[in-house]
Amino acid sequence: MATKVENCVEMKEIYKTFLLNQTKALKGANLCVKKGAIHTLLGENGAGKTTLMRILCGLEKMDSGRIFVNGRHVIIRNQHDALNHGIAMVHQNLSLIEDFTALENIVLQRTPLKFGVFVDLDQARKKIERLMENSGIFVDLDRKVAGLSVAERQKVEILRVLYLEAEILIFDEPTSYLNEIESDQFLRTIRKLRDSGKTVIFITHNAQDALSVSDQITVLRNGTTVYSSEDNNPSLAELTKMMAGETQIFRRQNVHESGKNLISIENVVLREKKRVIGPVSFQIREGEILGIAGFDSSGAVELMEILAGTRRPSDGKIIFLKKDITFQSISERRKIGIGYIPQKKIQVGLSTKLSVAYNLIVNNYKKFSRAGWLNHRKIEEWSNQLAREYEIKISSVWQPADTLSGGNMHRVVIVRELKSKPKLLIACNPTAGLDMKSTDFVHRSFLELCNQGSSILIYSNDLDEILKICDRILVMSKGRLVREFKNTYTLTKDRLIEAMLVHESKPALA
Amino acid sequence: MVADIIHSVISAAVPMIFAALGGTFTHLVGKLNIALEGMMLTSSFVAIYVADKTSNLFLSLIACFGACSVYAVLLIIAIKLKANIFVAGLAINLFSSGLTSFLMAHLFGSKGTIVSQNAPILNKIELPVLSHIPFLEKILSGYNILEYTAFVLIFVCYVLINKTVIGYKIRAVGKDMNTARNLGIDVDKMTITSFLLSGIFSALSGAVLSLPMRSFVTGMSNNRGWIALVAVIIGGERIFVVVLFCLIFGLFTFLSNFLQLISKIPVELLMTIPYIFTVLMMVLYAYSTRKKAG
Amino acid sequence: MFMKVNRRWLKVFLFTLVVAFICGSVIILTTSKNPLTAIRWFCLGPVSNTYFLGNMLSGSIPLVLTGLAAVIAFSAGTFNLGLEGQLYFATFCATIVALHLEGLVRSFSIPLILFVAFIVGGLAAAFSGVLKILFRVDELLSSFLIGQALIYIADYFLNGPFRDPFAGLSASKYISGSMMFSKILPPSDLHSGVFVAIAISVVVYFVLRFSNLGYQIKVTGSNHDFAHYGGIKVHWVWLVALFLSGGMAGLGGTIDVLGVHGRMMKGFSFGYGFNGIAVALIARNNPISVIPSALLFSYLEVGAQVSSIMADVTPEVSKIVQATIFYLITAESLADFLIGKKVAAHGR
Repeated sequence: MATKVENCVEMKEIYKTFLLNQTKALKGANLCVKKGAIHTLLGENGAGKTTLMRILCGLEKMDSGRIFVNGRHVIIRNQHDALNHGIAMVHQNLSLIEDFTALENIVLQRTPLKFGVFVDLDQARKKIERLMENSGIFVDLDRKVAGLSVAERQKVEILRVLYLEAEILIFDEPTSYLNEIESDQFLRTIRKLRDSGKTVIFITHNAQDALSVSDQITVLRNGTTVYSSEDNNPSLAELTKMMAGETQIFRRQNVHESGKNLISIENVVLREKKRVIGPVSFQIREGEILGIAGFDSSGAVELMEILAGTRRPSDGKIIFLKKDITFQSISERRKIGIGYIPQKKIQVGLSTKLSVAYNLIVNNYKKFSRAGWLNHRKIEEWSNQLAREYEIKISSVWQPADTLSGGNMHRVVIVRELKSKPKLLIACNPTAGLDMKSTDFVHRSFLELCNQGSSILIYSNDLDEILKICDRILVMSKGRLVREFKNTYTLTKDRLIEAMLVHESKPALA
Repeated sequence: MVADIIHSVISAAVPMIFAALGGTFTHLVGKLNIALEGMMLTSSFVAIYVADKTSNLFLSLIACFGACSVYAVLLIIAIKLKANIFVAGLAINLFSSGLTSFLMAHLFGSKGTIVSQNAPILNKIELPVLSHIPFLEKILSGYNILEYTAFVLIFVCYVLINKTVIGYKIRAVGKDMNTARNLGIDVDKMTITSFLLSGIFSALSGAVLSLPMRSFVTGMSNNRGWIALVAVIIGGERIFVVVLFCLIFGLFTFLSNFLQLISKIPVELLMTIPYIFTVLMMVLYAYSTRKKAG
Repeated sequence: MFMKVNRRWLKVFLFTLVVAFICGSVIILTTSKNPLTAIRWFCLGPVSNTYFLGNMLSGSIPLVLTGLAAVIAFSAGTFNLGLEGQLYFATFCATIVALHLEGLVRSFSIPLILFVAFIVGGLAAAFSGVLKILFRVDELLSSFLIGQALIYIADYFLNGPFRDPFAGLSASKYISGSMMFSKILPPSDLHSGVFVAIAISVVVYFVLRFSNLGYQIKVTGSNHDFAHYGGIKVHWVWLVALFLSGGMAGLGGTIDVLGVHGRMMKGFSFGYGFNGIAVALIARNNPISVIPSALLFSYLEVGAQVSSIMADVTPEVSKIVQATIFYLITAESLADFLIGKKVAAHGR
């Protein structure tokens, strides 16, 4: 190339309307990315960040607009075109085949051949080993992806796009499922990528991450570009304001110390093929919000499932209000007042084909029945009232749940669990993937529930969330409880992370 | 004696092996080909009809491929239209049983059995290499050309699935279709390929039922397609396990036929043997995998 | 909203009807020497006189019940492919019971016989449910295989211990007339069992749509992980749905025997099971729509029979036509495309 090209990607006046629900996702968005830079695309959920990038990758067609790559006007019809221009997206948990090894996954898109038909994995392995040397990103190529952690999977994804010789790497919300340390490591990785000459586009709703890593920031709101930085560094507050407008942050005021014992977990053990979780013992008092901090590999999710009743412990006892519920089914537990917001909200927490109303009554439909028959008029009234009260945007309570937006589906799950007024609410990552306004709404509802005397057990990857609303925090590491903290203002994230690492044998920052 | 029995068991298993190989391909892309039974039945009729008219084995097989490909295309269309693949498969099974009895009545004026005088005779071929090894000679030699084809195709399928790029991509589609599509693998092409392959193997399984006997009987496939499906589910992508299970089912079929000859147990009760054992197999398999999973 | 969906369904149904007759006519046209007469009898035969009309109506009764059987299983997200065997075996058992009930009053004996059929059919289907729950064996295949085994077992008894020595084929003795449904439109086969079939479909409709059990079945059928999470006993729902499904199938065969045949004959029910699945699909899982769908299938059957008597048509034509529309109806979007109407989403 003779002339030095400053901007390697330019997107101008991009418009996109989704046919399915006629939402205007993009309304004239602009983006200008410098070569060899880390460019952050910042915005709330639904701002259009991902759509814009999917267009750039050829996964989505735009209605109108122009795209320039290295100064030349290009038309990107599919992923293949995008890759020809050196553009590739690193997907989030979506594009690895669990049952294949890392190596098989990496070479799937461009398979080296022997005699024209046979797969030549040895040749591919050599090439990838060279790539690992150059980029400093290492994974065990022969392990099945199913056994890899989220962070390791991400590395596999990165290696894949490198293997495909991509120059412009797009990361879609890469840190939202990583814990603090892994996030840190990840940010270091993309700096390495930049230093080796690649261009990185980084989609996130986390303004803090954006500031700490990027050379350039573009902020999207409601499908338009509202800010795009050259050199002047905006402050965190400014960025946040640009993204959303008004938000309120609050921290739990009253710390419960007294109160009767609601549930006791005594020496609960879960034995699985490769690992053992527990023995774990702790109590939750009435009116308390207890947080559990830990990596996904710590066994915290499994612990929540055991308490909720979707998983059986191998050993130990669970005493709820002086009754042994260890062997009670989830339906029996629901009857005595245990609510549950599962990790997979859409897949498990909803039936997308059923109507919103039917989704809202699954845990209390018997309230609407007399002698075995359901009263549909009452169900409709009640659901309408809930939808109004909690701002779930629907045209009829009989419309199928999959016609709602992601955020609204999420609300249906949370509202249903809150409305059953459980004595104990178990919540896994209750706000993952929600924008600030909705997160705020969830936190307020939790506090309100507690003020009525209920208790909440929260597991969250987001340590800020835990610090914000919990009274007491337990830290889990490698299947065991390692520390207990009272949540006072002096408690910081560092101390939680330190505890989370107690049993992690691997060096944290490799 | 033992060698003769093994020989008969293998012969009894061959139609199921073909069908199961066919079923394996669609199973690999994550779709269960319920239509195996119908494909088999139609193919065994077409084989005899064309063989009777032309006295040519090759043309007869081509016609079978044609017939089963039509069914495969119908299944593919159903998938494209997001119809339920089970239901489309059932429809094809019903169609097949209707069509064969209709054509039998219409073309041959018969309702039960057609025997073809013109169909080519499939001779038993002795393998000269094995002629001096006493036991193996009886087990591995003396099959007809279609049965030998089956043995060869087992290995071809193994290589196709595990070593080639098509097998690799087909497996990827089956394990996670959305991911495969995201990665730019042509999911439709792989699905179509696997269904066409499935059709070809089912065609062979039908042909190997009727051609050696030079006759066709109503409902000739006699639910072998369904039993092959069980083998497919149990074996998964492990071709040799699939074949092994077909052989076991072959043993039951043989037993049920054999006992009909030598014992006074009523035929109807003997006929239940393959079904009961198949269900038993499914239970045992499910039980063992559950234990392994903990 | 209920009416809107029904109107849409009606359009699809009419479309199916037209396709069925066009398809049948084309086959007759290419195979018959006297196609016009044959086609006329095929299309209008069943309504040309009360005899054929009655036979057509009575032929639809077992299909209504196997259709309902399939609807119930589908709604709970299970596949019951063993309808054929459950129907056959249950009918056999019910017939044997009927033969031992000599001398009871009709209003007492018929419900008792039907009850036996219901229980036997239900248990046969529920067995696959038990395998599914205990061992996670796919009920789709297990129900089919068990059903086939049951057919052979019933055949054994019909051919052996329970065979009527004076019958020319494998069949039981005749059930006494006092235990049979009364004929409505003699000399045709139509009998009062038709009211039982209609009543049952109405009951199934109300149960599926408005009862707790119906709600549990629908939730489980749409997403069983969600149902379990919500506190619904998924295993129990599967078991109940399969039991009810098998029970319906058993009723279908038994009503047919008590109304038409008067005895159990080998192979009397061939095709009722799989056609029931087709009927359920054409009805789009609506228990009321099962009735017109079953009528359509029976119409085709009788039409083909009439034209085989009156012209040179092979009666198997009906099988081909039925399978063709079975296939076409699975391609729901094809029908939607052809009648030019987009699918209206409906979550209830």
